[in-house]
Amino acid sequence: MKRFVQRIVAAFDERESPTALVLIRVLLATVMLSDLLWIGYFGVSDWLWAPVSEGGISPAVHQNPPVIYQWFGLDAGTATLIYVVLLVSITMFGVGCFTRTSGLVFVFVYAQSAMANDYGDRGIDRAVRVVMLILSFSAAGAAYSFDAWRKTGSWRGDGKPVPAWPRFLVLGQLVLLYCAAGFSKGGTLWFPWGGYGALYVILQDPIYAKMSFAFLEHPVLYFFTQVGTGITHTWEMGAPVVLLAAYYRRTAERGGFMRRWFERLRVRDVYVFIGVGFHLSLAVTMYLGIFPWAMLAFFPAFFRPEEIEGFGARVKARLRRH
Amino acid sequence: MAKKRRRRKAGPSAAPVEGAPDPSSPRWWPPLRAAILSFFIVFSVLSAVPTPGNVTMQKINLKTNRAELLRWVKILDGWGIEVEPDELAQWYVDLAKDLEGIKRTVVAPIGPVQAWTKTHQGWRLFGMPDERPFSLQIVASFGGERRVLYRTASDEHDWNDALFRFRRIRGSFNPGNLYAPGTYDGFARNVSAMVFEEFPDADEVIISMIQTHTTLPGKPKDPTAEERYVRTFTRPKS
Repeated sequence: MKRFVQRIVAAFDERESPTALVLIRVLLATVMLSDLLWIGYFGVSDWLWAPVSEGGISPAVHQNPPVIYQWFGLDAGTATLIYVVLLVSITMFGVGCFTRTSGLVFVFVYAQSAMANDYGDRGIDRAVRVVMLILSFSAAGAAYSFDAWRKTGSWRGDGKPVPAWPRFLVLGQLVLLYCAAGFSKGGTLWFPWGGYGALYVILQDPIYAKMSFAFLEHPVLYFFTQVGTGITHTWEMGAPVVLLAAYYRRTAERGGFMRRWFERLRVRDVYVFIGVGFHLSLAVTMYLGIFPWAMLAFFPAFFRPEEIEGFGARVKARLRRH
Repeated sequence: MAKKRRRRKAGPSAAPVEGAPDPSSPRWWPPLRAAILSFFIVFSVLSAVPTPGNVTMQKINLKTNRAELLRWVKILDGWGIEVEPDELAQWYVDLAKDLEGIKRTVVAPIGPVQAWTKTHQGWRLFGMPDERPFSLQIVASFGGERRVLYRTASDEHDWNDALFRFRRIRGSFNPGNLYAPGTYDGFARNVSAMVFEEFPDADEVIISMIQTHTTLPGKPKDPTAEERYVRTFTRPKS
């Protein structure tokens, strides 16, 4: 037991390059900024967060006003304030300007907006808050940021390794999310004994589908949706294999049949590859808003920083050659 | 040149030391940090454990859920377990209630943090595909003549389609089978105001959700469409 505890303490004390965290910070901020800009484009911040008497649509604003309305007043001005603070804080977070503070401010105000209008707040918004909260306690602003320039005189930071635990937590959150989503799928249509009809049924929902998918009733095409249903469900429930792959890599010196096979089959890479395909397919076929893009923004957590840097260097070298 | 070289050395790619501990932290900090992180990990995992949620007999008796219940009865029958639909439904309601109670108690220590940051770990994404989906319909009346302005997924009636497709607005009208979202009335009121403003001749606006039935390939098609959650607005007198 003592050794187990020591191992956990040591794991959370590890350091690594901040590259993965920086990448998540920038990607996530970009996705959230685009979502907020759409709110501005449609001019619906009042719809979402103002009291009903001032053009809002959510009774929760006046029935059970979140604390931000108690501080700044129960009126449309607070709705505008929520919007502006979200916009400014996510921009600052993205460029790494007072990264931790701007991240915490964003999470707090975002949570307040969710309390004001729970119906405009989906599962992906909760996932974003979880990851932003983790990043707010991390060194995600240690490189390629205004903070790095302020502290070291270089936008790229001083290159010192930073605590690795935030990346571990984001990775853990991804695994938890996918695994829980997989096991929450209790409808028979997700199972072989329900004919794996889930994907077909979901794609017939006019509110989500980007086009008419009635043609999928053709037996051959329907078969492909059944295969897709099976792969999606298995992929989600199988998320913990990524943690197992990471554990095997860390303990590679112990050897053994399973470690060799995980290494040979590149289990993690296959898992990520399917995941990217899954999310891009969702983005192409369904109106799911930021969901696929925000989830993909978390994906750098699957990789060790030196892998991301190596990939970047290879791309750069190839571009230079052409 | 020297400056250029120094810049290249700086940055995240410079000598990452994977697996190395933080030499600058005081001795008490790593164990304390590990304890704090372990606390959040353990309770986050516990609160992510899937439970059926708030299940009631009223919900189970909805068409989609009833069909699902009958499928399970058939499957169990195939496995040699004979059970009546209502008996299975009651067992499921009781189980769901017990599980929710246990979960609430177990995750209580992390509850305030999750409530304040709205970071609850429930990930029911398309848990039960909706075989009875809805479409939004907006109809305006011009001196008794009705005109469909919008219907979800219609190329012909696509007034403000981008707005109604926007995820944050979609959530405010897309209903469940039992009731419309709490924001539905406010949404309908605001949309009617938009219609009256853009169409000065419109004297009435009817906003509703059209529910259809998706059947699997090979099963008989069900062309019925039910209009639900109808809200009617007449032009306010100026």
